Amino acid sequence: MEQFKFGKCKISLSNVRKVYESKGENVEALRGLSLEINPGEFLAIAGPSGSGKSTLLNLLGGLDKPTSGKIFFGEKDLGSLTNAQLCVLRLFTIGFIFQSYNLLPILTAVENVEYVMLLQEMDPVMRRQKALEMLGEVGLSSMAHRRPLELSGGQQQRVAVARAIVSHPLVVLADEPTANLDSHTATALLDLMAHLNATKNITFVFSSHDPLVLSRAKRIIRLHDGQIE
Amino acid sequence: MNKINILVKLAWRNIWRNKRRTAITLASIAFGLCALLFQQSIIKSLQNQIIEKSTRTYTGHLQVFSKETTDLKVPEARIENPSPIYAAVQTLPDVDLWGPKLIFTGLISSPFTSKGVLVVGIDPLKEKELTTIHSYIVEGGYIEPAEERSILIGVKLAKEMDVKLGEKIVVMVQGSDGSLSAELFRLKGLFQTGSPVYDGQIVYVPLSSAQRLLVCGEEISVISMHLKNVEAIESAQEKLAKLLEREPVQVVTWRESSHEIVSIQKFQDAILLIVLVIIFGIVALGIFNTLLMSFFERIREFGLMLALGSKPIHVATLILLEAVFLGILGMVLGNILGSLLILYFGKNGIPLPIGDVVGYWMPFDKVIYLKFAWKELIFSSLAAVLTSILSAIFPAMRAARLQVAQALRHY
Ligand SMILES: Nc1ncnc2c1ncn2[C@@H]1O[C@H](COP(=O)(O)OP(=O)(O)OP(=O)(O)O)[C@@H](O)[C@H]1O
Ligand SMILES: [Mg+2]
Repeated sequence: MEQFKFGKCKISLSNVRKVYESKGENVEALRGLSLEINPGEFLAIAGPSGSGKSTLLNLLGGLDKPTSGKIFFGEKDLGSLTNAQLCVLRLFTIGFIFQSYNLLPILTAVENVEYVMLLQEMDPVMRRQKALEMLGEVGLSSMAHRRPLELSGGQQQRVAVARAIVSHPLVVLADEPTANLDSHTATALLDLMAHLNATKNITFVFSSHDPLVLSRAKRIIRLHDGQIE
Repeated sequence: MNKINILVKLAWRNIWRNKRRTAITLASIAFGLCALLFQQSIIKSLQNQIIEKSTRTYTGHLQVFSKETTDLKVPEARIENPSPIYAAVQTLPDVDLWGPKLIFTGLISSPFTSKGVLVVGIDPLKEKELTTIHSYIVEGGYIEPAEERSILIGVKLAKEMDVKLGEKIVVMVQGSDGSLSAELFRLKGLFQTGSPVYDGQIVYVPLSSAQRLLVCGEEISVISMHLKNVEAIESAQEKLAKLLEREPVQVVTWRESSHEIVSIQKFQDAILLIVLVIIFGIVALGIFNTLLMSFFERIREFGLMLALGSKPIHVATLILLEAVFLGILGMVLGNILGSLLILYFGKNGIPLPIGDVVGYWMPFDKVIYLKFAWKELIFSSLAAVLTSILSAIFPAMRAARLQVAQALRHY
């Protein structure tokens, strides 16, 4: 399997545009965005609804392709990758945390964390051990064998965090990870992410429009109408 | 390998997520298959019963006729020198039982009336083993070996002729030398097979008397054989034909002499195939609907799998595996249900009016005892699984073509 070894490298966007076509109408979600993200950053993307936060994170995560402009992981231009290569890139270099329904409902917490390592073809004994270890780090040791439906929203998000960081990705992308949580649980999740960012030196990019959440970020990029304010 | 394992695990768990839907899908596969197995068993048991009856009452499995014979029912030509054929038949290890017959049309008369019939000259001992006609005797007895003047006729014919046991019957025929010859017989037994053809138009006399009547020496019309193993009928036919290479005879199987049974069989097989296609067409629509629904419900989930780094082929495989599980489970259930039905009616029998129709031509039971039709069972079971898999191809292809970002927007 082709691996992407980026080590600790910079992520840069230059003049990225994203135009969605829906029902013959063009929606320009990102209008020429340029941005640099340094290794180890704890970066928030802020902005009102429809400002392009999710679009930006999708492009960063190789889930979608920009209409024009370039995205670099170090020296590598994501635009030069095929869909299959993007798939491998996501598997080895990016951790994802979404707003909700992050987990495969038919797998237990520990199986969800293992899933990525399984796709990476890691040895079964080792991946089980790593997954349990990771669940310990997010404080869910006792719930390893529960299914997502048997976990609270906050616990589910913690499992997602464990899964996102378990294979030491270049960057963890979190699209409104706290949107479905109450402020107390949200703060705890942010604390966890900040802790992992500090101790494991993993880059986090997350979006939110919640001032309380944003206040935890070390740097905030504010989007408005697809542009940085 | 790991990935297939997890996909198998995911697929298995997925099909139990919506238990009611899975139950309905399984039931539709199982009932469809069960109905099919039942029907196939009826038809095949019926066919086997017909073959068994036909070979056991008249034709046997293999027959040797004169080369000139074209009408295999009422052979018009005779085998002039049967001894080498008797010898050959006896040396063939495939042959279980055998017996010669002399068959011709003649006129039988009672003091009151006469009727045209088919006269069958038999070797009483051999015929008793070879065919079951003796078992249909309801009055009087079977022809004993030394009895030169005994005749067996059907109940229906006896009534028409108004003759009773022990009374005289004259059989008249045009001998091979052109002269008219007649022999006197005494009615020894009455048989009742239920078939109007047998009971009203066929009479049995000893072979030697028949030969004397026809003034034809040792000549016979046919030698019938019952094989030890019917499956090996073609090879037995070949071997015998080889042994008899230099004789002016032909070796035919019951399929060739009973072509009407074979054509009924072909017709029934065609109907079975049509029914199979219809049933599985309906089943396929059901499975397709289920799979498509569950596909649309899970678009977001597939998006998540893809985002995490699963390949599109994994997602497609997952859907196919789910269909494989549904198909196999439905197949197993269908087989269980079908087997129960077949076992029950194998023991208790099914009364079938079709017996009357067939029974016109030959003795036939009015009850059918079901047996497993293994070839058809395997074929239908595979078809059930295949139907399920085919129904999954479209949803699987759609899943493989999902756009990750768009799939993730589905909630
Ligand atoms: N697949 C799509 N097709 C058409 N338009 C889209 C699509 N995805 C996003 N858009 C449009 O692009 C713009 C940016 O959307 P995006 O989802 O990135 O905003 P957002 O900042 O994440 O908003 P929110 O806070 O509500 O999640 C919006 O106007 C949206 O309607
Ligand atoms: Mg969004």
